[in-house]
Amino acid sequence: MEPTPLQRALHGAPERAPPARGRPEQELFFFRLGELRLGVPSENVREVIRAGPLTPLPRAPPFILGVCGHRGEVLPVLDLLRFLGKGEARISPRTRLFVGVSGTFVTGVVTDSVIGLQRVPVQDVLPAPVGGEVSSEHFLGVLTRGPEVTSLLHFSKVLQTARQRAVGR
Amino acid sequence: MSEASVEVLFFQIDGTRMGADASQVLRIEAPGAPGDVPGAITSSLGSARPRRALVFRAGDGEGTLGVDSVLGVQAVPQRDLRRVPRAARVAAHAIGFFLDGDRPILLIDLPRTLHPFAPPHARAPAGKAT
Repeated sequence: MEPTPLQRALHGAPERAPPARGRPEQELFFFRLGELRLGVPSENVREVIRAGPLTPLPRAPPFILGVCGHRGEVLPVLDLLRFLGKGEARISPRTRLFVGVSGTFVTGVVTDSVIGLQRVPVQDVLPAPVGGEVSSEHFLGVLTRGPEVTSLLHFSKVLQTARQRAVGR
Repeated sequence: MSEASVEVLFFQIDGTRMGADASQVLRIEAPGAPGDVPGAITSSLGSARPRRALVFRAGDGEGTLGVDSVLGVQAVPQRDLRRVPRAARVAAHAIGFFLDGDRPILLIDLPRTLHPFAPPHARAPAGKAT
């Protein structure tokens, strides 16, 4: 008797669910700033703090808003909107900074609101568009989920460029 | 044992509180514009509307920095002093911060204010500044 389609299908079926194939994931820190939804690798984020009073820095480029003190540390405060040429951040009592680190560089970065940490499959990260208004070297890629597009920052590169622009003035 | 401290002269420039090593200040001229000090080199980094002038040694002569007001001298504990963060080293005369609670107060080197466009790692010219 010919096996039925179901029997054929069952013949090759495993007894238990196959182990999930490892999908590499990356943990990202997401936040909003102006019209942008941005993400950075979580290893670049130390903590989120309230924006305290800022002390202006002489001769600093416009994207460095000044410095603030936090737990005995002096942090330069970076406005990514100005850095990316997308406007300028507004500091309000609701403003939060994330303390970003890359090697020995530590800086506070202005956010309008913090979304939080999420793990995303690496394969979901698409390459950053080339030829946009903003240099693609500062982005790891984009993440599209529903109608929202998140730009993923290459934070180490951002800090490196910020430093070069600052001392090169 | 007493805590190590440094005497810092605090002042305001365009509303921003700053400090400098008190030993660099020879005297405070008042009232008048810093340009009033005969023979002195005037720093371009001073207050837009100076009401006092800090006079400091600059090489064989003197330099002046116009300020809004002089707040006084304070012995600042060394533990509250911080170097300029690497990501923010943009001006040679900005040499560090005094953490007043959680508020950083910029500390400047007065002779270096005469050379504001020197790179941040530059030292004051030999024999020109203390």
